Amino acid sequence: MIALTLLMTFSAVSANAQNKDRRKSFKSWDNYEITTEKVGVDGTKFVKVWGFGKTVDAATMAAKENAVHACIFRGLPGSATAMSTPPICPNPNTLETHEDYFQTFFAAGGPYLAYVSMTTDGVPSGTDRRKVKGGYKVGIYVQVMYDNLKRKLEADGVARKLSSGF
Amino acid sequence: MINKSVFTALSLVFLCTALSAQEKIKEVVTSNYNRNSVSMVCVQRGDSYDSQVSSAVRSFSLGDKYDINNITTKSVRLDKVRSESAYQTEIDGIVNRVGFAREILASIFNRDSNGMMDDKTVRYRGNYDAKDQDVINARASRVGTEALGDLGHGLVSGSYIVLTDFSKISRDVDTRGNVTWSTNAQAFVYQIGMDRDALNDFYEQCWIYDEDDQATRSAKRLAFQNLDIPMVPVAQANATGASSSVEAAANMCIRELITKLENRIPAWEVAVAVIGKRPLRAKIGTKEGLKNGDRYRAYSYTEDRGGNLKSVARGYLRATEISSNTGMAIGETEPSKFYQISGLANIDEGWTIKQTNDWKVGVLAGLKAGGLGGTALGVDIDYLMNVSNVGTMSYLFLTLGLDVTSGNGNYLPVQFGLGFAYGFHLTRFLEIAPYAAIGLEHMGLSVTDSSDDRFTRESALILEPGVRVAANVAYPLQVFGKIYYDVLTIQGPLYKMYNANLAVPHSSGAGVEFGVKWTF
Amino acid sequence: MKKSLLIAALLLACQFIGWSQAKKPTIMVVPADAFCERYGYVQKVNAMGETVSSPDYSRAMKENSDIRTLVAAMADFMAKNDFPIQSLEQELKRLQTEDAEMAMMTGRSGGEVEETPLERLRRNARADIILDLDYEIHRVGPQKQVSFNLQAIDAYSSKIISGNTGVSSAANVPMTSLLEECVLSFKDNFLSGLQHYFDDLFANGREISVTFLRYDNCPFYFDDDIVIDGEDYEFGEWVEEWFQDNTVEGRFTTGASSGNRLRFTQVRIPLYAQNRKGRDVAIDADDFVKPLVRELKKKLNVTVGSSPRGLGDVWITVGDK
Repeated sequence: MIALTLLMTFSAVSANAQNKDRRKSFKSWDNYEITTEKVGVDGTKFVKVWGFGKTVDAATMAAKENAVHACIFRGLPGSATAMSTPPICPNPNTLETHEDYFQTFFAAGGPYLAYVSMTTDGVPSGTDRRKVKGGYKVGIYVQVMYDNLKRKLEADGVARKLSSGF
Repeated sequence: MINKSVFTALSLVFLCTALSAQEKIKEVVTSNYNRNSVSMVCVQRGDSYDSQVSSAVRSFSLGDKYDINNITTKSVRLDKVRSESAYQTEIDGIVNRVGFAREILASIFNRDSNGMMDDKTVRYRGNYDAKDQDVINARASRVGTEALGDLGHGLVSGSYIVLTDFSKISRDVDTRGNVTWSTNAQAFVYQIGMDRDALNDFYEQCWIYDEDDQATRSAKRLAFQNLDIPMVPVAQANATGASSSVEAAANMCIRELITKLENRIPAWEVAVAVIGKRPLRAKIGTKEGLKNGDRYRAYSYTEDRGGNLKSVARGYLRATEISSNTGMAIGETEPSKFYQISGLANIDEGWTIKQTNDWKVGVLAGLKAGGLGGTALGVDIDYLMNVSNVGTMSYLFLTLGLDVTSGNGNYLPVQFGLGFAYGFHLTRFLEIAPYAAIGLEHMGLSVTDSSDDRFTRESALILEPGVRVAANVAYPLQVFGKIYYDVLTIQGPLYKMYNANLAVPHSSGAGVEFGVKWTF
Repeated sequence: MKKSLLIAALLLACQFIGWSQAKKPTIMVVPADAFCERYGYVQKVNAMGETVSSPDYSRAMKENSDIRTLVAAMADFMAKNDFPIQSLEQELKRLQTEDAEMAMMTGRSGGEVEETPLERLRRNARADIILDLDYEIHRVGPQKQVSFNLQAIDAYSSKIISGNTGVSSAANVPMTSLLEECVLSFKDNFLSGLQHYFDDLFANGREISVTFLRYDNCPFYFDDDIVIDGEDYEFGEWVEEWFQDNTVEGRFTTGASSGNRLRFTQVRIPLYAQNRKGRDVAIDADDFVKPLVRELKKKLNVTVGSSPRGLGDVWITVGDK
């Protein structure tokens, strides 16, 4: 019985610690570069985004997450021939108020993957693949299904619809 | 006073250190490559060779790697005797006088006598240069693949002229009446000094639209005539060639010049990413003028603590199976295959490989023991003919041996021959190459005798099967060992006599050779 | 304070529960004057005896396929966001038919145009938000590049809600590609501007203008003192007090006032109010002034009429309807 209690306490603590870690990374999730390449086909954003990871694959996944993160929270910078894109959730508190939702959304293999597709030919290569301390930094071209992402967040009550209130 | 001089000396030291530190900052090897367009121009000297060298320049084919800008000025005149070579400043002066930039633009934009231009060539080149990534990017963007042709505008700045000057042309006739022409050649390369802004200015000032009235048209025609776009010198190379005709010798020189220039003009070096391993693959091919055995060098990229990009040179590799990619890219270009020949790390996908021309010529020098007999100095020159996907390499080689122990002043035994080696790579560091050579061993001083058959009478036919093992030390330096068996076959009568006079007469036997190899 | 809190709570409740909905603003794309001038889509109009040129939207829409492409592309994304765009073309046709019918009925010939086409359009089409669209095609040698300027204008307050300028890629591709690229380029920024405007609308109320006009039948001038509820008031003063009590946080600006005319601008009205049965309903400018009109009628015993000019502007006529 005591052992069971201990085990439960331990697992609770470790789960809590894990959550804390995740939360921490959520909060400091700002350190990445993203640029708009060109005006994407209807409903999409065509961007180049960077990610960091222990391996090239992990860095590529991180870059994909970053692209979706940028569309939701940061917005995309403009370029010479493409205007900037505002974030889907401009309210800075969105992440906090819907933290559980985004934990699930950005989980490994989570729903976010449905809204991003890599358009880099093959693997990240050349100057877009850099060995840095602790791993790799890669730059990939991605297409974010911005409109679909927006609809999804609107449907889930995280983002407001333009027509809400009318 | 002393203090002052000490101070001056110290500052000088500091300055020098700073300068050398500055030099150490390496340029980052780019992973981008776009097609370049070139126009060949012959420098004439106003003598009887002009027509021959001009014809050599005109008929020289640069291959598929370059687009050709068909400019009107195919030759320029340098008033200087042929026996003296040209200086850069003299050529600069000529280039500044001729409006080459204007001619290049007229050629690229198909300018007609009315001053009307079009973008057909530009669009064709843009589409042709587009890589799979460009095609995929275009599909992801709203303007779509139709805009791929517009990439061609970016290629205008990659226009070059190569002025080739031939000097010191000479004619030699040997005792048998064979004529050999030899010549020195110099190439001066200039690039059009036109960035995107300058190109936009050009469009604005000189592009005639259908709806322009006559006054506008003449103003734009005048603006074109007054265009002042510089040609910027970018590289220079020298070569020499000899052949049975001036034209052939000149042609040989141009080939050498282009190979050298490709190593001197970074934009001319093909660079591409490795897209797969086992075998190494990259999306280049005949369009880039890639040929079997061509050497490339791999680079990976890192960032230093300051976040600055650095390229790290890795191993070398050679092209094996060349894909034919001369069509327009549709996103599924067939890659060519490569074999890694050096480097500690395995070349990984995503790394950049960059063209690093070599002559595919290896020079081997070593000491031979055994074989026909005695200790000999051996020199082999091999030429890499072919590389396969699994790293087997075919070589054609010339071999030369000089027995320094058996002979005496009069009867120095010299072996020379021609052979074929077929190398297998167990790893990229170790090559085992069985080979066979056929040659002659010559003893005596046949030069003192002009009779035709003296040489053959002093020689013996030798067959040499063997195995050569070469290991990389620091590419292109290798150490090698050979084990072989020399078979002394048909012997000339004089050879027999001289051989018998040697302290230890030469005979069939096994031998070994150890030495070093350098690949050029 | 209490009132504003109540309003805020009400607004929030409406947004999220949505038991009652505000009237959706109508949106219309109109070619900018500069565009019409540049392409020669202008007509000479005789306004107050002076000949002025004014945009000929009809011709612009008929003759310029590019602008139709742009409008179609914008209509497409607005429809996806549940804001169908009012068709300028259809509206123009309707106006034409209406004019023809009117002419037949009154037998008057045209020529006495006192409004510019835009004013007439605004009045008749009653779009709440006008998307003022301007674009220019630049030729860069063989390439084309489109620069665009789109302004969303609140039709009543004439305030710019969202402004977007930019350029397309320079390319030798069909115009439709470049034009659609422009629309996709500014789309999300533009929507964000609209969202911002709507947020402000829900938080601070709708901005309207109210104009009082005096008819000759009115027994007093607006700057006269009159007795209301046994107290002496200047008419304008009394109206101002009413606005102070009924606008969101008492926000409004008193504009030009004279004995015959009173104008209130930047009047922030709540989006919702209770109707006589105590139910929450969405209101517009006309609904907002109805209680005022009733009160005026009751307290001053004069004829008072209100005539809305779209959702955000209303004229109150005192002395006659």
